[in-house]
Amino acid sequence: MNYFKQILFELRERPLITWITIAGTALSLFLLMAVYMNDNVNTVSTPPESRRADIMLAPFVHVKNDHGESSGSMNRNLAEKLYTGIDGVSSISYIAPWSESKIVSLDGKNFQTLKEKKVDAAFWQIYDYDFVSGSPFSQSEVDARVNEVILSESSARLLGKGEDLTGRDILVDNVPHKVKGIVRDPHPLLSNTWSEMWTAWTEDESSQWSDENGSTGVIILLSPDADPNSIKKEVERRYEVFNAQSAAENKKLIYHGSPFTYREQTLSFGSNTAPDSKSANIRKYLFYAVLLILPAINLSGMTRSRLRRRISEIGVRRAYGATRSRIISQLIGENFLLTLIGGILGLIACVIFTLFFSNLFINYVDVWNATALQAAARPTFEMLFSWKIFFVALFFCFILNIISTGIPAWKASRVNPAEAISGKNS
Amino acid sequence: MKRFLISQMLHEFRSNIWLIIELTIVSGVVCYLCYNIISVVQNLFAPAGIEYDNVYTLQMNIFSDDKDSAANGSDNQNSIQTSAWRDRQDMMAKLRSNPHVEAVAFADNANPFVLNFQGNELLIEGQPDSITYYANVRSASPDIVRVLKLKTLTGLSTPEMENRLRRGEILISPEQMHHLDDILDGGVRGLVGKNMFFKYDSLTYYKVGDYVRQIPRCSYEVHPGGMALFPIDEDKYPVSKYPHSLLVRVKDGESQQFVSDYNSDPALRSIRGAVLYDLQPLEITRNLTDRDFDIQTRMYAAMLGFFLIIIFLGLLGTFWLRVQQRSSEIALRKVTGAKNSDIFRRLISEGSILLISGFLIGAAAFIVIFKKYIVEHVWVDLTPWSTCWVAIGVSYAVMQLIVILGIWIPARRAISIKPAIALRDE
Repeated sequence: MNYFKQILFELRERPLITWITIAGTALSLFLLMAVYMNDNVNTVSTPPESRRADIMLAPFVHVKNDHGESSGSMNRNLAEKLYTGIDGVSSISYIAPWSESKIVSLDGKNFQTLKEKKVDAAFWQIYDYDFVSGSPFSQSEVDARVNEVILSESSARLLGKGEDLTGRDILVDNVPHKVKGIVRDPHPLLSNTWSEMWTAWTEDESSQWSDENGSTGVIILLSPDADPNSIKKEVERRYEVFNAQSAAENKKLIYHGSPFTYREQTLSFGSNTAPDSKSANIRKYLFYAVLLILPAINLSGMTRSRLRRRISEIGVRRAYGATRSRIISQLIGENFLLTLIGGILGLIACVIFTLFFSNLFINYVDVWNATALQAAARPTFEMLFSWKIFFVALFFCFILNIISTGIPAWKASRVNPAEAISGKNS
Repeated sequence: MKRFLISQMLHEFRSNIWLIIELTIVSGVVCYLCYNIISVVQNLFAPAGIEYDNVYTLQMNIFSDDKDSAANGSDNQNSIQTSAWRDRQDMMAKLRSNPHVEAVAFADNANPFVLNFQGNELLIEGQPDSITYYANVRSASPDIVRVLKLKTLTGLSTPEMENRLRRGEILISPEQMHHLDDILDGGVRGLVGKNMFFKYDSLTYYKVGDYVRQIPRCSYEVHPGGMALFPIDEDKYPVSKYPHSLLVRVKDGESQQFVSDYNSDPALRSIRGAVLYDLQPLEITRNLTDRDFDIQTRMYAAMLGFFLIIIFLGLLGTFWLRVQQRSSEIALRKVTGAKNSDIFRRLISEGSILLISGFLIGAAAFIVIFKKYIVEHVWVDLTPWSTCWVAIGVSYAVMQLIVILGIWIPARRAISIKPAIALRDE
């Protein structure tokens, strides 16, 4: 209660400085949390990517041989050699790792362009799409290369203009396809699952352009107790086996750490490079440090000056037997409340900003492949906020408070009571 | 007075050193942000190579008449070309005959505001192989001159430029060619009329028809290479299963009528196996492509704003407290004849000295760490050193302004001190 009284007193006595302290803290927390929350948008679990923490992705392979080197999506046979039958994998999906635009028409007269993902049956087990009608492809349908399509709800609406298209034929690049099902639209920022339509697909020879490269990417769903690192080790071992077997042909696969977790997937890297988590983390922590230290220097200066004015009060407390640790904890506690007020204001401002304006400042999707819909998309509240976020903000407040108040409070606690009361220290 | 100012600043060494550290960090960051903003934004003011008002992009797909063979993935060119070519020609003719259309160009990697870069080295006939021109190879039907209103750098008329393309000549742009000015007779412009050829094909020569401004890949870009625009003969261009890209210039003021015709008249969208789709104003394409750079610039500006606010709050708080602590000193000065402007100037000088101390270190760190190390060792930097000096100058000016603003409010408080009251309180 004393903490609140002290803050109210400060607000009355020195409103400008107190508000500057709160505003500085709010601004700092705002930016810290904006960086932190948006960093999490691409890794937080949300339907249909509810199992992001247990999913690993292997979109590429990098090959060196006598003719030079090539990198890109995999040949299906190689993908199976490298990723099928690994312990700790509960499900594995072989898909085309990119989207294509297709011309789609219901009547053969009016054409729409829709983004298409080519997927197999396991894809629908790994990602939890919400089917409005119909059902996913079965593996036998995929193997038979049936011309079937699953539409997103908005695509079905666009094409059917209110008609239920389940079971109907539509033209995809002028080829009739049966609508197998309709799913609720995934959020456009979920780039691994967002699409406007999905077709049943398995790689054939026409899309293989070498013994190693083709059109396949791999999605792995880990078993509940599986360790991503052990999966990586097993894949690396398989790379070595392949290289040993291909040594006579002077062919070598270069291992870049695949399969990748969602966190690794957010880092920028290509098909012939590895994600550099270490550098990314250094950059990130350096950024956090700057965002914490700069306001802390400001706040520390103000705290020191405020405490200088309270030095005789501290002297009286010391004279009446207050220990140094009690003085320090009192001062840090008071300041923590002030930091917390600023922190909460900053967090609220950050959530509002991210919900409504973040797409003006942050690029969530790859500019090369983004549609206008994806480019304009903003994360939802569920993607942004969790209790973890709240506790991270609280932690940042705590750190900011310790940095800005620790030294001034420690110094204030060391005053000589007699000198402090007589005003010699003020 | 100056000596007294310095000795007083030294007296408050501990408080000042923190402020200098803060100003140092912020100066470095502000220089970095200003550098990035300037180097990105300056290209917006470069002369445009095209006019994109009233220009639309369209996609055209040609489907085989034989739907069964298409369904089976047949890509047999011989079986579809006769009808496909006829359909494509009819479709182009239909589009061109629309009363609101001024010109239509058939484009292959020639659409503006698309980030593809088809890099190839071109050599000059009669010159050593060491003299190369690295160009983004674009191809389009000669109508592109009228559609995009390409800008000549030699004074050639638009019909003549178009004629030269029709004769099979190519158009090149000056980027990446200035190094040839000292080597070639007549400089780079002297290339007009000479022959060029691809490094990989020394048998096919292309006469340089004119020297034009670049078709931009985006509004912000410093062109990473030159451009060579090759003519397409629509009647001979192969038909494939992939979509063709069209550029349409609509007559001035008739965009709405054209879009209305396109949407309401199915015959304008498809003729037998030829289908038009994805009509989009070029301005939308530009906005989507520029979006990444827009966001980047906004982000830098927001960060800049954040750091400047931090500094503003820091100076405001620090000097507010200093003025409070020095009220009796200020009162004494006033009593002894100091004018308001003297007191104001003194506080500003104090802030400026602190800024210069921090800025010199921060700017030096920026040059050493960022410009010298990162840019020269990690990135390909196309921005000249002059931008760096401009960024440092702008950064200093902005920070000096913030120093003045931050000290303004405390300074006004200092000026308003009534000597009699301040000295009586003392």
